[in-house]
Amino acid sequence: MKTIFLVDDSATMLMSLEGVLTKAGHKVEKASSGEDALDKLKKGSKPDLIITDYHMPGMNGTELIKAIRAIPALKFKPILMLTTEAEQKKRMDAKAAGASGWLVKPLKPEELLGVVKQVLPGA
Amino acid sequence: MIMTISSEALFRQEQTKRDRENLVVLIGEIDRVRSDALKKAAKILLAVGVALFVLILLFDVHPAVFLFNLFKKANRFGLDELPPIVMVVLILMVPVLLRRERQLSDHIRSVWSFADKILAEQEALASEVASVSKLSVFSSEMNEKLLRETKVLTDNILRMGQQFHDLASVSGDLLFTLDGEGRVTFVSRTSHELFGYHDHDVVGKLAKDFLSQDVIWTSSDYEAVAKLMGGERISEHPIKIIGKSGLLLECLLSATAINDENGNTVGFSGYVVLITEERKIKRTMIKRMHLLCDTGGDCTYFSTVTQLDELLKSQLLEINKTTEAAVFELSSKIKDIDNKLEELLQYLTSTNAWTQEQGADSRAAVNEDRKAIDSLRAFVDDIQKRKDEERQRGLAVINEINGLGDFVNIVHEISDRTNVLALNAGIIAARAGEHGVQFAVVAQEVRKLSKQVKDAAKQIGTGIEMAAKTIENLFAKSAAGEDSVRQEEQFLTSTAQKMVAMGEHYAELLDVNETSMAKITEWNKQLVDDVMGVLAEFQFQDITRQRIEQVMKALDRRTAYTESIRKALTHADVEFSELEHMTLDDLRDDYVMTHQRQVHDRNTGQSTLQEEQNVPKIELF
Repeated sequence: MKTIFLVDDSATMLMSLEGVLTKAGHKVEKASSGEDALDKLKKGSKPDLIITDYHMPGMNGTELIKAIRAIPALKFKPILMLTTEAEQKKRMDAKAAGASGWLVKPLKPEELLGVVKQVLPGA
Repeated sequence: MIMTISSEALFRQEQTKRDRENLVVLIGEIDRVRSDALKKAAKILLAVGVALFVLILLFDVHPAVFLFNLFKKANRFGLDELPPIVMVVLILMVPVLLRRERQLSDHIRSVWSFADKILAEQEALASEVASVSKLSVFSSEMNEKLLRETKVLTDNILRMGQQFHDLASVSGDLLFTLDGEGRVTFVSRTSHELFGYHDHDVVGKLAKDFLSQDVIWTSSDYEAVAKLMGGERISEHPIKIIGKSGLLLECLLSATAINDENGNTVGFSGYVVLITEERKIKRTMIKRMHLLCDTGGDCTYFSTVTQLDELLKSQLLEINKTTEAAVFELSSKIKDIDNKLEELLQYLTSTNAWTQEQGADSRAAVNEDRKAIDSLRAFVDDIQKRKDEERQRGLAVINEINGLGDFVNIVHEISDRTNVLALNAGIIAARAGEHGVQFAVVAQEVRKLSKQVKDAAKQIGTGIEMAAKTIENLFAKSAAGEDSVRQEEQFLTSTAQKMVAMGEHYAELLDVNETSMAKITEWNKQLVDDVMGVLAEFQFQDITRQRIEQVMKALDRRTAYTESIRKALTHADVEFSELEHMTLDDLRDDYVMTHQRQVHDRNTGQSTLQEEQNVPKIELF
């Protein structure tokens, strides 16, 4: 069982992803904004994988990834961007900031779980 | 003179006022004195009364006696010149004096009232005189002012007339004046430029002669004329004037009546605007402006657009909220279903295990039953076989016995032949005489022996028959018993078969149950996967929300754009650079997904970037 940290300003999105991941046997932690996520991660949350949205009020996904990479304990944790956005420049910026992958919504359960398995071999 | 009279009147007014005040003070003084006197008298009388009362109470002295003694004592103190009766008279005089005093006071009051009345009249008269004199002074001043203003007005009129003439000479429109009969008294120089008429062509002629006779007058035209004749102003009334070349020219007439001091119309003045194409466009634009912008200049038409945008945004926001709430509700229900499916799956799993166990036991039992039935069948078959063997042996015995019967018949036959031989021997012996006597005896004995053999054979035959019958009876019984056994065997066999069949049916039921359970378990697992799929589908709400938010942003842009239009229409000093500028491509910056950009590009005739179209759904760096 792996712990996956979800970040999205949409409550329905968090609920949807949590439903799929918990049914697959994973533990899920959530945050509704970049600032909230950063706060929880700094306070000691140690997930195996972080999945974040791009478009969020305040801190966007790329900025969040940059801030997470600055936390020593999370420097090498896999971080995936899950977003409706597909613009090339934004993808490259995210990659430069330290993103491990870019996923375009909506994802089918098998697609999401497949990626999780790829990124977390023991999952 | 008026001033003097006025001053004197004012002086008298003041004096009268002072006299009245003095009179009031005097009356007041009299009142005060009277009041004091009354008070004192009252006090004295009260004191006397109290003293008499005390005397009566304390000393039980008659007041008359007391008074008498008092007078006597008074005489002792040198008051004997004052006889007691005088004292009484004086005392009795008090009320009379008081009454007289009151009468006097009343007289004084009435005199005061009369004097006050006279003084008031004097004051009023003086006041009137002062007012009249003031009015006269005012009138005089007003007259002087009026004269001055009249002069100024006259000067202004003269100046305005000059300005009018100057204006008329430079105005691009036709300025005119008419007399009371509608004849032209003045036209500006533009008459020639616009219509081809010099002033001498027009002045002195009736103005209506220059209007088109072919144009049918409408109620609006009659109304305008009535207004003008009624002394009102008309503004931009459409008319058609015949130019000198005969061309019918569309114009706008603005005019007003010129009235004398009695209010009678003595003429008209106004101007005529020739409607050129440019002016037509301007007029249309102004009309449109008036349509869109109210007289206050607020352009509420655009305010409505802004309000509509706000309303739409509220509706969209509400859609977002409602869909989010609906998704949460659905999700909750889906989770309930999922929990129930989990329970069902667990139940099916445990039931399936039990079913399989029961199935295995049942099959084993059925196999055992089959084996038992087979053993029973074998046993019954064995019995049957032995019975058959016994029967065969029995039949063989019967056949042998029946075969003995044949032997008995042979013996009978031999006996009969022997008897016949013996008889023949006897006959021969008889014929042989003495020599055959012994032979006859032997023949006789042989005949006897033959008879005995025959009898014995008969008995043997009977015995054999009886034995055969007995055996047959035995076999018949045995057959009957065999039938019974057969029936029992069949019954047992049938029962065993039924039990086997039951066992097999039960096993089949268990098999079916096992198969059903497996099927249900499989479907349940599929349902669980479907539930997961439904949960994943809720991502649509987030995508829809983002799309709606983008539409709301577009509405914000539209509101700003509309406000900019309104500002341009209502503020003449607004520069073009201050206005909100927007192109459709500005909206593109707000998009958050490829599909939005594709829709945008399709509608604007652009092509979406290839790299954006081919973005993989999942890309691991």
